[in-house]
Amino acid sequence: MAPKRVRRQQTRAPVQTAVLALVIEKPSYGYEVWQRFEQRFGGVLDVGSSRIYQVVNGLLEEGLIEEVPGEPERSRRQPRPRYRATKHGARAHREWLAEELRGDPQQLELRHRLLAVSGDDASVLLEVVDRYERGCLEEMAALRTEGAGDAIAMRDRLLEEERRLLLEARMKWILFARHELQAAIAGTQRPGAS
Amino acid sequence: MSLLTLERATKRFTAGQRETVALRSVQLELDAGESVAVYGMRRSGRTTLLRVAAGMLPLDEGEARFQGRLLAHGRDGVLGRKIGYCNPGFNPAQGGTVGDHVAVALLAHGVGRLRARARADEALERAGIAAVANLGAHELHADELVRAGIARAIVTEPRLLLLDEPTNGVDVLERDAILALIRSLADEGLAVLMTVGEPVAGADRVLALDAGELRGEAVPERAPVLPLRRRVGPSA
Repeated sequence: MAPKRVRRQQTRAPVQTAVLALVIEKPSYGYEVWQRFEQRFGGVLDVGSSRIYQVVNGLLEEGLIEEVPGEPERSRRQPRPRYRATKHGARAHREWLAEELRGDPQQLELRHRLLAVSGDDASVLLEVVDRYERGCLEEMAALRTEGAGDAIAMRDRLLEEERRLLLEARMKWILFARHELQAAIAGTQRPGAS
Repeated sequence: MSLLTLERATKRFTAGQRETVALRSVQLELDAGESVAVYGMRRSGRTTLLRVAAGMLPLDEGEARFQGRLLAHGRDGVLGRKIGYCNPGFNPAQGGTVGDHVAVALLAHGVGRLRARARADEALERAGIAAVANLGAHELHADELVRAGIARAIVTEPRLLLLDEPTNGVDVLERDAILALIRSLADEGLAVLMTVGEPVAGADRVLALDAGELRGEAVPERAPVLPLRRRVGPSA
């Protein structure tokens, strides 16, 4: 049977969502968008400044952002134009953000297929599960809690809770997978087992 | 030297002809100022792990050391003094009010009644529930019971705090505040070992326990740091 086709619903690159979000948060000129992108998304989305300018131009062409005259600057004769989101852009951002939160079905399918071509050797798969669990435990240790004078913003709390619930689901799957694989290994080692 | 060390700790229980291995050659090190969460389902061995760390259960193999000394399952007197075990269950025979319950451990160590009650009130304040000191334990909400259990455990100014599922049955909105309290106790220099049945925030390391096997970073990778912050709990 031919594998089912998984259509990638998310047509936007995360960097586009990020740049649009930055412009919505605060109208900025091109270099400022790049600097703020580095501060807020560095380490998560690593792209060069030319890619940011490219994305800004793309958003302009689509009418999702627009140029507005900049504030006069002492060091410049011509103030740099700032970019701000249009109404259309603000609406698109909410849609894209929901898509990002929902996750990428293609990536999920890729994981399934990678696992499927990794063979049926239970001991190899058990090692994969162990490594996966170590990653999840490290992620769990990175979950944040509020401290005195360190109140987490409401939106961060929402994301932390989603991350926590995803980890809970993953840990339950790991438990299930390990028991199944251990049972399979014990079955193959049993005298007379086929 | 770590504050708590479990070395190849193995614990078995026998019921009739059935033997259950609750802990299988567990290695664990815990330093002052560190919070470690052990994630596990029911029957994973998590409560046994805490009881071994408290010195309440003798091991079948391996050893458990606290401050370098072998834990002698109750005979060394460290439990309830240097080791606090948070239990949100309250025995009605131990007093009328929550404040009385929290003061019991101090009374048992010869502290005078008034002084013990004053320190109990301070521990309740530290746990964020000063207002319930004169209520009966049966009047407390689930989160307040956990906080009262923490107050009772820290009233003797222990070095190690053990908590068995501190977020179990606690409302989502109250859960994070309890975890923040536990984190703040670790930040003040207390070593914290807690079991959890769900991912929780605020731990320095999270380990997984399944069928008695402990996985994850059982030994801290970083060098132990001795905290220079003020001591935990009410002042003497």
